[in-house]
Amino acid sequence: MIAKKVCLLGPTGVGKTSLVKRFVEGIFSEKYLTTIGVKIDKKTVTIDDTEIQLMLWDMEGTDRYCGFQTRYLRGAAAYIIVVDQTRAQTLIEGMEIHKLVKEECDIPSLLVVNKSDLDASWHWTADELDHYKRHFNATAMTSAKTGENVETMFNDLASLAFGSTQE
Amino acid sequence: MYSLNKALSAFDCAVLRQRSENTYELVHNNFPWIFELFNTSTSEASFNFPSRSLFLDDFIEQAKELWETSLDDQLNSGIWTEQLNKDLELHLEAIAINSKDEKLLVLHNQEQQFIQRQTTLQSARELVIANEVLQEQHIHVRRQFEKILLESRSLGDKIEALSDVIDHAQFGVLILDASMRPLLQNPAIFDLFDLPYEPSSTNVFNTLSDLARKQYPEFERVLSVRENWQGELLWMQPPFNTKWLKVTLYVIGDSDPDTYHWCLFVTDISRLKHLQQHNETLALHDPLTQLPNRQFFWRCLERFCANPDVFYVLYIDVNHFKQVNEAFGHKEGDRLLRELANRLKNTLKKKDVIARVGGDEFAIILSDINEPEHCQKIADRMQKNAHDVFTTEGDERYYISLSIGAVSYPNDGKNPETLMKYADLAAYKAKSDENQAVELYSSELTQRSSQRLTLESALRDAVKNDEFELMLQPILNLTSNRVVKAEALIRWNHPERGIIMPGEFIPLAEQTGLIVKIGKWVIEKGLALIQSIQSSGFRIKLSINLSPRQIRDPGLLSFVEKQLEKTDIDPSLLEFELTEGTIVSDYDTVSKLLNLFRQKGISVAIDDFGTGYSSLSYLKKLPIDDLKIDRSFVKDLASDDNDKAIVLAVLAMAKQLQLDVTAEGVEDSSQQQFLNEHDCELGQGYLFSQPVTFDNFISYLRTKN
Repeated sequence: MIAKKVCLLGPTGVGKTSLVKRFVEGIFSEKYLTTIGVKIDKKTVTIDDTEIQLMLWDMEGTDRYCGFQTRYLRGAAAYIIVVDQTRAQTLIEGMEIHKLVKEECDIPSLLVVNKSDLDASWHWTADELDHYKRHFNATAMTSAKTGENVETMFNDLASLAFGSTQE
Repeated sequence: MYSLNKALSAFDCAVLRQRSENTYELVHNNFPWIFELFNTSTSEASFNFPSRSLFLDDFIEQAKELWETSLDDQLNSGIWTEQLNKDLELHLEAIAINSKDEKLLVLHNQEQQFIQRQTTLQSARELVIANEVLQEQHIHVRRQFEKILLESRSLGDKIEALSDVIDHAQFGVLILDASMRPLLQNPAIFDLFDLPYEPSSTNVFNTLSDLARKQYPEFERVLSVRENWQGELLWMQPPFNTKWLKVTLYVIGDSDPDTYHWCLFVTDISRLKHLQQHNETLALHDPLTQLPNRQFFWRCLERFCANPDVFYVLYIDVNHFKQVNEAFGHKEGDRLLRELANRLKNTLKKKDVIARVGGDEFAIILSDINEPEHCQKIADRMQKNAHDVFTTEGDERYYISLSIGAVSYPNDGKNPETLMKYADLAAYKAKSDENQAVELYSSELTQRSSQRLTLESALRDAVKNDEFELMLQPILNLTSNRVVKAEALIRWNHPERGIIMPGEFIPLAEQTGLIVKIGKWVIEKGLALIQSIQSSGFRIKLSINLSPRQIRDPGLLSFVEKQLEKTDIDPSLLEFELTEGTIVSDYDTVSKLLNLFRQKGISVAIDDFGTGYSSLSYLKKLPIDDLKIDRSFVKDLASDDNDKAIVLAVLAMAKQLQLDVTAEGVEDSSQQQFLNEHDCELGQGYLFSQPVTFDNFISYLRTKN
C-alpha cells in the first residue's frame, strides 16, 4: 500500500483537528480544544483502484503563540490550508502560511474553507475569494460539524498527493 | 555512568544510543512506555526502527542527518501526541544529540508541560478567537450601516433598513443622531442591562455614557473630537449583577446632520473576562507585547496616588500606526508594537511602570522625578529611540514617531482619573502639533480645550449662517508675468471677532468633520467664481484645497461631478491641491480618486511640497500635474544654500517627471530672479498679490493679462 504524508495547516481555531476527527472517526465535538504540537492520524482511501494510506499531520494552529514550523513539511506529498469563513483574518493568515510553504517546497495544495454550516460573516466578496483560490490546486467548502464535503475533500487531497508523486 | 543514570532518573525520559543505522540500545530508562512505542518486550535492551510512531520515524531521518555531521549539536522535535492504544496517549518530545561521536536519542515524556501549555493557550486562544469573531461581526454590521446611512433615501426608509440589520445582530446596538439622541436600539441592548425594551428610552445610553466617563477619563475628549473608540466597561447592579461590557463607538458619516450618526456596539464579555481571570498572567498582561495591560496600570496608578511622592504619568500614542498596518500588514503592526515596547522599556528605571493601555497606546509612570525638565529629557529619549529605523521581516525599512503627553502628580492631578485624562489631552495636543512631540500638561490645555468647544459651536453656526468668504490669490507665469491660475482661499467672517484665518479653524473643522460641509461650500463657490471670471472675459484655472477627511468622504466625487454638470464648466479649469500627508494617510483611496479626477480632466497639485514624507515613489505612480514648493524653502532662497539646493532638486525632479512647479510665498524680486534663472515656471506670493476679493482679482487680471 502507498503511504502519503499530508499536512493540515492554518490559523488557530479554524477546525483542522475537527476535520481529521470527522474524517477518521466520524465524530464531531462542539467543544474547542486547542492542539499542542503535532498529532498524526491514519486513514486508508482508494483512488483509482489504488489504496493509499493517508498520514494526516494535524499541526498546532499558527498564531502569535506558535510560529509556523516548516520542518514538519519534510516528505509531505500535499497540504491543506484550512480557514474559517466566520473570521476574515484567517484567510489572510492562511495565505501567509501558504506563501511560507511555497518558499519551502513545491507540492500540491488545497484551500479548505471550513464551518460552512455557519453564515459566512467575513467580508470577502466572491471575486476576492476567487483571486485567493487561484493560488491553490483545488478548493473545498467543508463543515466538520455536519460532515458536509469532508470525505470528498480528503479524497481530493489524496488524489493530489498521489498525483504529485506520479508525475 | 552511574551518576549520569542517577541524574537522569529525575527526568521522565529514556536515552537510546545508535548502534547501527536502525538499531538503538537503551542507555537509560525507568518507564515502561518505551517498550510500547517500539512494540517490544520489556526484557529487550535494543530497539529497531521503524517504531510504532510515524512522528518518531520521521524525526529519526532528520536526526541521522545531524549524526552524519561531526558537529556537537542537538535537534529538538517539538511536542507530539502519540495515541498508542485506546487508553494510552503520550505527549512526547525527542532530542537527537551528537556528542563526541556518541549518537544519542532522548525521548522525553512532556505530559506536565503539555497540560500546562494547553491550559494557558486554551484560554488565550479562546480569547483571541472570540475577539476576532466579535470584530468581524462589528465590521459586518458597521459596513451595512454605512451603506444605509450614506444612501440618499428618507430617514424613515433608513430606519427600516437599519432595523432589519440590528434585529439580527448578536450584540447590543444603539444608533444616535448627531445630537446624541437615540434613533434606534435593538432589544439585545436592553437585555444586557436587564431593562424592558423601550425603543425611545435614553436609559441605556445614559448608563453607558456615565460608565465610560468614570472609567475612561479620555472619553469626553473622544466625544468632542468625534473619534472612533473602544473600551471595556464594568457594570455593576448590586447585589447580583456584574458584567463586563465591550463598547465600540463608531462615527458614521460626516458633518451633515442627515448622514452623521454615532453607533454604539455593546457586547457582554463577562465570559471572556472570566477566562482571563483563570490565568492571572492573561488578566493583567498584554500577550502581544508582554507588558502589563490597562487594568494592571490602573491598579499601579491608584497605588502611586496613595502616596505623597511626586511622579509623572506619560501617555504615548504611535503616530500613523494605521499606515504601518495598511502598508505592511497586521503582522508587521504587531511586530512594531513588540519592538517599540522593548525600546520604551529600555529607557526606564526598574521602579517605573509601563503598560500597553490601548491598540497603539502606552502609559508610563515615571517614579522619583520632581522636575519637568527631567521628565522632558526621558520623553525625548523615548522619542529618539522610537525614531530609529524599524525593519519588516521582508527587510523593508520604515520610521515612526510618537505623541507623548506628560502630567505630574500631585501638581496637575491627584487621582488616576484626572491624571489619565490630562495626560491623554496633552498627548492629543502633541499629535496635532508635529513639531511638539512631547507635551507637558498645563492648565492652558484644559482652557484651550474648552475654547475649542466654543469655537466648534460657532463654526457649526458659521456653516448654517453662511459666514465664509472665498478669496483668490493669483498664480503667475514667472517669465511672462501673466496670471495663469488662482488659488481659492477661505476666510471666516465671524460676527463678533471679524475675519478668522483658516489656520485657526480648518484643523478644528477637520477634526470634527465639518470640513466636508465647508469643503463642499468651497467647491460650489469656487466653480461659481470660475463662471464669473469667464463672464469677465478671462479663462483662468482655479485651484481648491482638499483635506484628508474630504478625500475619505465617499460622496466627494459625485458632488464634484454634479457641480461641474450644473455649472457646465470645463473640468480642465479646476485643480485640486492635496498635501503629501493626505496622500500617504490613505494611499489607496487617494490613488483611486485622483485617477478618476484625471479621467474627468481635473488636474491635481501637491501642496506644501517638501514638508511631508520623504517617500517620493507616489510621484511616479499618481496622476499629479503640479508641485507647489512650500514657502519655507522659498523664504530664504537668496541667502540659504540648503534651501537653494532643495529647490533646485525639486525643479530637477519635476522636470524629469514632467510636472509643473509653483513656488509658494514669493515675496521679493531676488527670489523671483533665482526662480526665473532656474526655470521655475510658476509663482505665487505677496510680491505679486495677496489673496483678494473677486472684484480686486478681476482688476488685477486686467492689469496683468
